[in-house]
Amino acid sequence: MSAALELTGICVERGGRSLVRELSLDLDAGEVVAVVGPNGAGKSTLLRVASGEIAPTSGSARLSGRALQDWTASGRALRRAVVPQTSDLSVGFEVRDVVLLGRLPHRDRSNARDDEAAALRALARVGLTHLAQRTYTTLSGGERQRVHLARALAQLDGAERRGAVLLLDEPTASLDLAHACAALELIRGLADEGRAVLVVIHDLTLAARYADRAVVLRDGQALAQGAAREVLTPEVLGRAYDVELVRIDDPRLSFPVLLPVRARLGAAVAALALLCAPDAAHAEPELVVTGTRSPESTQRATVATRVVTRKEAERRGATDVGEALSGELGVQVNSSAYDYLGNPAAIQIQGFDADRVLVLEDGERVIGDVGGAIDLSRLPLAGVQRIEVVTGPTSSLYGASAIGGVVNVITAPPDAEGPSASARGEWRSRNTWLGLGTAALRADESWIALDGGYLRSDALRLRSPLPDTALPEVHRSSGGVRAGLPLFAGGSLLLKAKIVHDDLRGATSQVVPGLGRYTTETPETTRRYALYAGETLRLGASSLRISLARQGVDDATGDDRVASPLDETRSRAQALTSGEATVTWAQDAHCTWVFGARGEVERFSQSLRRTALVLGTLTQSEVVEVAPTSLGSAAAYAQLGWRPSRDVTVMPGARAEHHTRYGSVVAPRLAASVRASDAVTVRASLGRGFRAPSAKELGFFFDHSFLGYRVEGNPELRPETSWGVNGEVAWRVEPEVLVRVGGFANWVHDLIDFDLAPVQPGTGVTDYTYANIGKARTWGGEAQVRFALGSRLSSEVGYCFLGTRDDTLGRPLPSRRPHTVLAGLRWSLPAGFEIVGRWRAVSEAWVAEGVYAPPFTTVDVRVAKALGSNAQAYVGGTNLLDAARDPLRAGDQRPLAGRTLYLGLSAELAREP
Amino acid sequence: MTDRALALTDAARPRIRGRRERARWVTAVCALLLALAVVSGTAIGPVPISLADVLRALVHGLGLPAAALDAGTEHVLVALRLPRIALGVLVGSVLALVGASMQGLFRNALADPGLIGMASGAALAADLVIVFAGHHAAPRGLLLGLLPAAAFGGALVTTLLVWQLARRSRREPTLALLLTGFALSAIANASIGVLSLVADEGQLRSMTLWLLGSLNGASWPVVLACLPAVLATWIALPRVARQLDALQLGEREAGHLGVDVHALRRRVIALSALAVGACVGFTGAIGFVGLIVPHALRLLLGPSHGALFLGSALLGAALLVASDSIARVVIAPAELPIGVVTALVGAPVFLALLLRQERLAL
Repeated sequence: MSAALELTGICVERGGRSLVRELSLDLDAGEVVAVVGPNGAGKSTLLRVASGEIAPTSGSARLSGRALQDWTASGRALRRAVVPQTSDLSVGFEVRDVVLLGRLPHRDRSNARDDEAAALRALARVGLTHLAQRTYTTLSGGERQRVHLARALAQLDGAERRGAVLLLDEPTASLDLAHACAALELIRGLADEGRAVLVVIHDLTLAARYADRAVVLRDGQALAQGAAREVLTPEVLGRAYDVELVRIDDPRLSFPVLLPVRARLGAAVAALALLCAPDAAHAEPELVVTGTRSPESTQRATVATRVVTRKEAERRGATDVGEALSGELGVQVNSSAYDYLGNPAAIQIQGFDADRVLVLEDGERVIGDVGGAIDLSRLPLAGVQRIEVVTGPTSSLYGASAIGGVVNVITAPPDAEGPSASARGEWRSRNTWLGLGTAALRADESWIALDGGYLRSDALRLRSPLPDTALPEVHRSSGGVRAGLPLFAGGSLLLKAKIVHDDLRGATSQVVPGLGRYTTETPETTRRYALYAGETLRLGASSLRISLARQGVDDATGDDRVASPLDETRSRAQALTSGEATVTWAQDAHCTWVFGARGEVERFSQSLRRTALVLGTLTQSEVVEVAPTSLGSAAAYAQLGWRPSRDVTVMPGARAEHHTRYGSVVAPRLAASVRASDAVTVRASLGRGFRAPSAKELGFFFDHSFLGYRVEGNPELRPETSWGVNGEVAWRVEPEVLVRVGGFANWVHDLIDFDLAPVQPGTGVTDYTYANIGKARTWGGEAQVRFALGSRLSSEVGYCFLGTRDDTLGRPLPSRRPHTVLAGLRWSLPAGFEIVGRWRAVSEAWVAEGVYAPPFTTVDVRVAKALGSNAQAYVGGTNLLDAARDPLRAGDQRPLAGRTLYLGLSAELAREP
Repeated sequence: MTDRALALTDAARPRIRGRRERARWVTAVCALLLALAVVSGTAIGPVPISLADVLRALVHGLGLPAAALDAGTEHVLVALRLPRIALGVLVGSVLALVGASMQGLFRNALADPGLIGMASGAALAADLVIVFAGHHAAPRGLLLGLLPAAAFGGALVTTLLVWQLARRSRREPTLALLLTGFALSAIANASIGVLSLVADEGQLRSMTLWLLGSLNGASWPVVLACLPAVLATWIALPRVARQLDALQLGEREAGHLGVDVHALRRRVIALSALAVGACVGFTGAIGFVGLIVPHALRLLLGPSHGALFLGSALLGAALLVASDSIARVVIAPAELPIGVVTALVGAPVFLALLLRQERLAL
């Protein structure tokens, strides 16, 4: 038997502001539930969700077991009635006519005579029979209130009493003492007949007396929920209202009396309150989509998801996705995982890097890896709304290869109606200029957004008079257009196109014995484009999404020896075409299915044009290093979100993939979350991972003999397989304090990694190749505490441990850092100032026998000043302690860029709502 | 409980019956007024025709044995007077019905068919035709055909524009419609002002006459052309009467009662624009009927739209037909613009009702 009204995990956001957060409430037949809380706590919003007037941003609201939005308007009106706090009825209906309006939903099944009788019954019930013929506008406020109650009764008359829902917004607000008591007696009686009643009420004593259960709201969150007499205590209410109360339990009364004594705002408190007054900017959107492909609140998501919003990225002084994520606990963005092979920002999660962490843009896999991993520093922040990180093999929706996790870079339609824009301009050390902007136009469901970004920076030289660069000179521009169009009721089309142009100019120098020092310029030009078209059809809570995407990366790397005709240019082309269809089917209150199928074709080719001296003459030759190779794969997946009860979610899923080259694999995954109480959420997951070797690991050839190394692909590679488990407990100790403790372990077979041992000793050239490492493990844990002191000061402290083991060779995996400690502080001061500070310490890492990557500590500080309500000027520095790599030290993986200072301006413009 | 309720029903019955009866009486009186207006309208005019002749023509027209009228009188009756009356009935009922539904939709007693720019749009389009088609010395026949088409188009385009613009506003939808309607009307009126500067004497006169309205363009084809839109209004508007009643509680409360307010608003506005556009094209803008008739009836009947719609249609038709009769004879052989007459006839009645209102309301 489902409850008459079931609200589960309701979140409501309007214009980026959270009005109701994570609220769950069941309303059973026969009970009265009181909602109490201070002004602006979200009571009315909650009532509007319960009435079906507005749909929650996330979460589900069900009437008699069926989603409120799935009912027809009149079907809904037959089962639930709403009594407004005030009505602006100003025309001279007769009272009886007003009550008759309640019969409107019955018009197809009732006749005038029955309607009349129902109206009179309702009037008799509220004791207004004698006023049946009076003109409504001549009634007193209290009488009007009762007329509307009668109207609601007439509306529910004839509907099945059991499970009919009555929603009342402060029904006693305009009633005198006697009528207030009478009204609540009446409401109590209505519930006793089997109706379910939800009543927003200010009088705490009346609430304690007449309600079975109570919910205490503050700032859109339930501070407490339960039996009315247990919940309505001076402690809870004091917290909700900022007031001191006494509760009198007089044995002569069957109910407690609650009286306010005084407001808690003394002079000192008032001064503090000014310093700590609520600051909307601290309450950021808390929705995530990665786990299930539909919005869930962070707190309720079955899969633990970390979010870095655009604003947070800005606060971290980030210019690209890599910098935005560096410093996120449990996520390691390595300045260079493979030393010379250059991955300025390769991500590592749970000890996995390269292709084991899927990098997605709006759910679509990003291609264009360099040396095996997506370089996050080449993903500009233009148009990015937030970045979500899911750790561990948890969700079945994205690819079996996501052993370490998923990074989802999310763009979002503009929030604001009409034209809006955001822009950020910045100057940074090394003559770096950054410009990011988005201009958008929205009219109802149609919107279009243009994103643009530009970054230029000087090269970072390693050894000063020499031109050798640690970081090349960068010119990066990106542009994109996104548009959403409603097609028809429930259908919408999303179109995206994006271009990124990257121009890097680096240089190296090398002493060749007997010939002197050669300087080689290493320019690199990358063009990246992505096209996406997706159509979504919605039917109630279910949806069908069909998408087509195409991405291409053309990359040319040159080695141009200065003052010499000898040079070479390596060109690579990579393209991914994919199609995907996903069905989200909300079967009922408890089961939501996600089914999907995806097909993709990836092409890769590489050629080398070189000018060389052959037998004393300059010869130009072109070598096809990797013949155009196509890899196709198809995948089918299914994931069930099953909520056997309100607090338990089990999410089993499976993904079957077929690769043209490696055959098929089935990767089962299971995630579960339990809300042990309103404050504690426990999550666990178990999953299988499978990763086929990439085209490059199989066929890549990279000859840098003159630098002393060569990399060769290994066509014999076998796919990797893994099992992983994850667990996490999130405990909201107080509304202001959140504690998270988690752990994970992964067992990998046939892990593909560089084989660093020289294959041909004695030639002076080190040959690197890829090899399957028989068995490897990674395990670890993290603990994090976030707390707010007042609402202007928030802070986080975290620690993360990572252990790795190559079981075949009996040593750790290289370049995995065992300990990370993190502390951050954000303080909003009066007059629009904001100070953000971050401190991070990273321990030593094993690289190779006798070689260790040194530990380092970074400190970032940023001070911002709001200019008006829309703009902000800021100044800050990252890596203030100047932890930087020593070019002469082998295995040093400290940040490439040392201390960086910046100064900028950001603005956000939208038409006032 | 049930017994008590039944007892109460019995007790309350006499008074309730009285109220129902009042509605019935008022409706009957309106119907009677319409019948009177129609009959006298056929008889009154520059060429007086006796009631007996009218009856004879009617009997003859039905193919029953009766002496035919002389050709001149029959022409006046069948080709001039009857279509004029029919058009008066159609236009009068539409204007009053639309006025009543607009007042309900906007929950504003001052709403009328011109509220959201329909009338101004039609007028602007008509004046454009008068001024520019006139300059090019277009044949008069073409001008006469073009005028209604343009007015119809003008009303529809303005309404669509108002609707689309209002959708983009973040205000409460009804208020947004009102304000955008007001703004567009102002623009249209300003444009008409500009037009009146470039118009010559004759055109200026045509413009003024069009603004005050007249039924003298009536003919059977015109009546047929208006009929579909008018029929649609007659049939569809009364069906939303109870939903409009619910809307008086407020949009949110109407939604709680299962009313799709957005669809309701769209339907009422679309029907109104269609019917008003179709009618005013032929008659010019006839003011006052749409404002006063429903308002007067609301004073008598209360705000329930069911009774209000029927009464408005009858009384609106009666008012327009009667006003037209008066317009035809007062300064015969010339004609008064009908808008002048509706205002002169309607306003005093309206004022009288208004002064009685206090007694009625209590």
